[in-house]
Order: sequence, then C-alpha cells, then structure tokens
Amino acid sequence: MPAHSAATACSDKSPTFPSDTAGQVFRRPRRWMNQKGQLQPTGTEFEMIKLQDALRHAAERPDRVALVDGGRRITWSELADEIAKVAGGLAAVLPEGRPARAAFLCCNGWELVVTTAAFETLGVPITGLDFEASAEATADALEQLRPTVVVSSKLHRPLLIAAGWADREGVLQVHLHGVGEELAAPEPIVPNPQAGEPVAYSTLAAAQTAVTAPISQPYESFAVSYDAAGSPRLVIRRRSYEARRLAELVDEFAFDEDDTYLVTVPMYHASSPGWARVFFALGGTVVLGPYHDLAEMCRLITDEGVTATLMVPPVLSRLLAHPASAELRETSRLRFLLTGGQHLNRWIVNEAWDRFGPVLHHYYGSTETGLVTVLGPDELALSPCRSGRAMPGIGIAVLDGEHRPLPPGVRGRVAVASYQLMDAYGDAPAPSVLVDLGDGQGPRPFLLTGDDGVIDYEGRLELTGRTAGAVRARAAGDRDAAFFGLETELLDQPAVRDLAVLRVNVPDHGPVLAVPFVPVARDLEAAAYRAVSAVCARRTPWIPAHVIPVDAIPYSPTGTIRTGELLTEIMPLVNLYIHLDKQSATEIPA
Amino acid sequence: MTTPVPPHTPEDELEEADLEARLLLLERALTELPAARQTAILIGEIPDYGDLLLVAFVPADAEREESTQRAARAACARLVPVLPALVIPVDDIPYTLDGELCGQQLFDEMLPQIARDMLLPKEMSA
Repeated sequence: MPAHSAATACSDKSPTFPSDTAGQVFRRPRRWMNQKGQLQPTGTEFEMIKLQDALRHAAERPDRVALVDGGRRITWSELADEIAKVAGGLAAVLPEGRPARAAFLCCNGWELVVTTAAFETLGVPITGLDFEASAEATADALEQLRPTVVVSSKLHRPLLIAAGWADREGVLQVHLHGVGEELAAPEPIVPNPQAGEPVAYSTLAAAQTAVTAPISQPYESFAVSYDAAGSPRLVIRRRSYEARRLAELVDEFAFDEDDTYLVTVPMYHASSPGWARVFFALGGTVVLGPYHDLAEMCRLITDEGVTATLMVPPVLSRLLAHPASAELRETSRLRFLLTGGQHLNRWIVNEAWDRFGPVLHHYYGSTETGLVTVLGPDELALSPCRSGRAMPGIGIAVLDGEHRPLPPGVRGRVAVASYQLMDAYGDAPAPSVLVDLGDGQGPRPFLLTGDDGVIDYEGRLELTGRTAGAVRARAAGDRDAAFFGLETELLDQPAVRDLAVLRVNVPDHGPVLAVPFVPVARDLEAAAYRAVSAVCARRTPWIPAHVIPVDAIPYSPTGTIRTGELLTEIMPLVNLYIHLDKQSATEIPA
Repeated sequence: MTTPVPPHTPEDELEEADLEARLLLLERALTELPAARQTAILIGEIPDYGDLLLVAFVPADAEREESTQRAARAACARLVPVLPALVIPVDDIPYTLDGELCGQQLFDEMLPQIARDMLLPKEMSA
C-alpha cells in the first residue's frame, strides 16, 4: 500500500508534557501551567477531583459554587471540607483487602461526587455500574471488578441484593441517601464492620478522622463496558491520561474556571465523570441535572449560567422539541454542547443551531478508546451527522480484514492509536494490531474498535455503523402471534366502528391491554363492550384487558394511531379499573 | 461521500454482510431526513412472516409526518429491497440513559401498529 494512499487521520498537534517533549507548546499559557507551557505538578494527576485540588480551589475562590444538586449549592470551601471528612471516615473503615477497589450503584447526587472524590483522594479506584442492567449482568460486572467497597443508594439496592453483593464477606457497604430520603443520624464509626453491616454516608462525614496518605498500590482505573447483548466487560487502564486530556481539551476549547458544566448523563457512564472532572479540575462549577425533566434542564441552563454540557442524542432531541428550550437562544450562556453516538439526526443538528447558535459539537469515542474525534458546529452543518476529526494526539486508521490501511473513501474497520487507550479487558489484552501508516514512524499499535467507518479525502472520519450489525427484536412466540390476530378479530365485531389495542406497562402492576373502542351507535355500546371483552379474554387470557369506550381513535396524517394522545385520554380510567380490580380482589373472602 | 451504493441484484440473494452494508446506508439516509427528530432501524422477527425491516421515526411536526414517511419508505425500497419494510411514526423512541437503543422495547411498543399494518390489508383481501 503506498504511503500516501493510506486512509488515516492523525493530529500531530501535541502540547508539551513532562514526559512528551516532541510536541508543540500550548497556544497560550494557562494558570496551571508554567511559562514553558508545561503542566505544573499537583502531587497527583487530575482525576474526578481530589482533596488537594479542592483545597487549592477553595484557597483561591472559597465562596465560588463548585457543585449544584437540586436546591443544594456547595462552595469550593464546603466541598473541600466535605471531601476531607468523608475521606477520613473512609480511611478508618477501609477493608484490609488489596488491591482496594470501589464500585457504586446509584444515581447522580452531591454525596456521590463527594464519595468519589474521597476514594480518589485515598488512591482507591471507584467504578460506576449501570443501574439499568440486569441482576446477572451486575453480578458479572462485580465478579470481574472484585470491589472491596460497594457504594449504593436505596433506590438501586434491590439490584445489588439480586446480584448477591449486598452482604459479601470482606466487602464494605456504604449507603448514600437517595432522593427524598432523610439523612440518617451519624453513628460512631467502627473499623472492620461485619459483612452486610453498612456504613452510612452521614457516619463517614461525621467521623472526625484525619485523612491519611493514599494507600500504596499500583495505579489502575476501571470502567465497565456492556456489549450489544448486555454482557459486561471490565476495561482496565494502568496509566492515567487525565492530565494530558485536560490540557488538550482546554487548549482546543478554551475552557476555564468561569465555565459551568451541566451533567445530564449518569455517572456510571465513563463520559459523565470524564467531562465533569475537566471543570472540577479547572475550579469551575458543575451542575447535576435531571435525566428526564427537560423543563428543569432548560431552567438550569438559564438560571445557573451553564456554558458547557454533554447530552446523548435522544435527550438532546427531546430537549430541542420541548417548548421550554425555545427561549434558550436569548437566555442561555451555552457555548459548548457536545453529543455523540449513532442516533444523531440532521433535524437535531439544524434545530440545535436555531435554538442555541453554533455550539453543537459531535464526538466519537468509547469506554475503550476515550475521546477520539470531535467535529465543530460549522463542519457539522455540512458533513454527514456521524463525522469527526481526530483530536490532538490521536491517530485513526480504517483497516481491511487483514488489518492493512485502506485508502480514503473505502469503508473498513476503525482502529485508534491514542494515549487514552485501555490496556486490557479483564485478564485479556486489548485487541490491538500493529499498523504501519507509511508516515515514517514504523508500525504502531492501534486498538481495533467494533465500528465501521470511512475516512474522506479531507481527513474526516465518518462512522458507518457497528460491526455488530442491526438491532434485532422478535415477537415473543405464541403470545405475540395471538396478539397479532387480536386486533383483526376485534375490528370484525359488528358493534365496533373503530378500535385500538395498546399494550401498557403500568408501574407497580405490570403489563395490561388497554382497548379503547368506538361503538357503531350509542345504544350498542354495551354490546360492543361485551363482545370486545370476550374476544380479549379468549385470545389473550394471560394479560388483563381493560375495554374503554371512546368518542374517536386519534390518527396521525399517515394513519398511525396517536398512542400518546389516546393513552392520555384513557389511562385515568385504566388506572381506576386496576384499582377497583385490586379492591374487589381483597374484599372477596377466600 | 464516496461510499458506493451496492448494486440492486434482481435475485435479491444478498449475503448477510451485504445486508448489513445496505442497512448502514439506509441508517445514514434516514438520519439526513430533515423532518425526523429521531430514527431507528430494527429487524423484527414476526411469527409466520419472517424478518421485517422496521423503521421507527419521531416526526418533527405533524404537517411533515406524511412526507417523511414517504421519504423513508422510498429509502427502504431503494437501499434494502430484500426485506419488506414498515415505516411507523412513533411518539418517542426508547433509549437507555446513556443513549443505547432499547430495541425490544421499541418493537413491543410498535407491535400493535405492526399487526395493524401487516394483517389488516391481507385479511381484508382474503
């Protein structure tokens, strides 16, 4: 393969680092760099936020808000104080097992941020687990990680119990307070608590124990990546890249201590703490946002003066469609809106430009590779929605089946060379191959990703999809087969003018069929009701059906039933029927 | 972009890899629809019918729902002619909190409409 024809995209714009003297100097000196543009040593490298970094920011701007969570606003001095207390408490109860590792299973919250920072202050890696995963996947992830401490909140503790990790011998359980829970009264701290005997956050924070030096163990950081089947894989890194990543991002996007970052992704996802710690490290403000409440998200963007955020495309799409986001162009300070993933549509790109101006950036990266490409708003408006340019210090190659570089314009498997790459999947080494790009540097290790892509003649990578293929779903055997014929038979009933069958999952109850129907005449409503109920009971006896007369079935212009509109109309009645059914069931003697 | 569109073979006997390539092209075409807020592609396995290409989209507004559906149908017919396709507008597409498509949940939610779209014309004409 001629050197000039290999499809690679690699940025050589590297800043100067203590361990990397070959790159260029930063464009402008910054507060945490010396006059040569080198990173000032801070004792340890940047992670989420460590006590020493919090203390440094507290000394400079003690009253500046560091963290916002609902109605709670924590200044830098308060945050440093809280991290110190919790780190001291943790040091007193940390199990003796080594290597010390922590896992958490809880939603975003200020206590989680403080606890995470306390663990990192102690040199204990802490890893988030997906609380939407199954009990089997959670147990598998925990078995791979083998944590010595598990942090959980009440809401997600049932998952921990189902996974069999709520009372493991030698594993410390730390309980955080969930939303709406009252703070537990602090208790005297007891070293080496019994298995299954938890330590509450309030107890740790009240321990009044001095922070000890970080424990002595080799550096490791972990993340859990889930494959298409939902099986977890432990991603391991044995060198920290945070300092360099921070410097690259600041150099590229000019973030500083006046920035306010909104968190919209759960902390268990690697990108969420990854971006939050950029702004913590700079001494900025981090706002913990809700996952689903879009009106509240819009309010936070305006009221907290959010300047940067990361949203997955589905959330961004819903936000842009929400009426409350219409005013954000006038009211928000947002200047950096990052999104990434397969589900970015042109509508989102266009609408984001209309509502926020030129702020939308698209990234490509994964737990295994870290941040790989970013495309700014100008190019994104003109390029395919899944394009990106390599970040500084990152190399991209598109390879054929025999791991040879492909020329521009030809689709192949994406491979990445980066200082952010993982080292191993559990006990297995990372799937790397040596690739010679023909640039005179000889063969270099590239990590093979699970993605297909193509590099265009301008050096942009366009993702064309996952090598895992399309998402498949199937009807659940005989039950769905019966369900298929149900609607047809129902519409054949002579007293029914129109009808819809909706399968609804009712919280705390389970799935039910909601069957709104329009009778052909008012005086035939009772007959139609009886007929529809009888057909449902005969064809789908395993699922309770609630048959409800309505004036009309709403349709979209394409003839699709407007499910949301219909459910809004009938769900109060469905809920009433469910309630009455339960009531009558309890009243009838056995 | 220079990615070539695979030729349409009259036999439609495509290898799985070719099907995947066509699906990726379709996915790209759908993301470029100007009036679709979100789009998702599924291969649904339907009892007694086999595989079905399912395209769910969230229309940006009701006025352009019909034209978006026509455009999506045309893209399906042009790029993945090997599979019968249903293009269904939905209120929302379910994703996990970190942005992964919940394929089975979407399929379950679309099932009544799939049944309606697939079975009614057939049984009415029988």
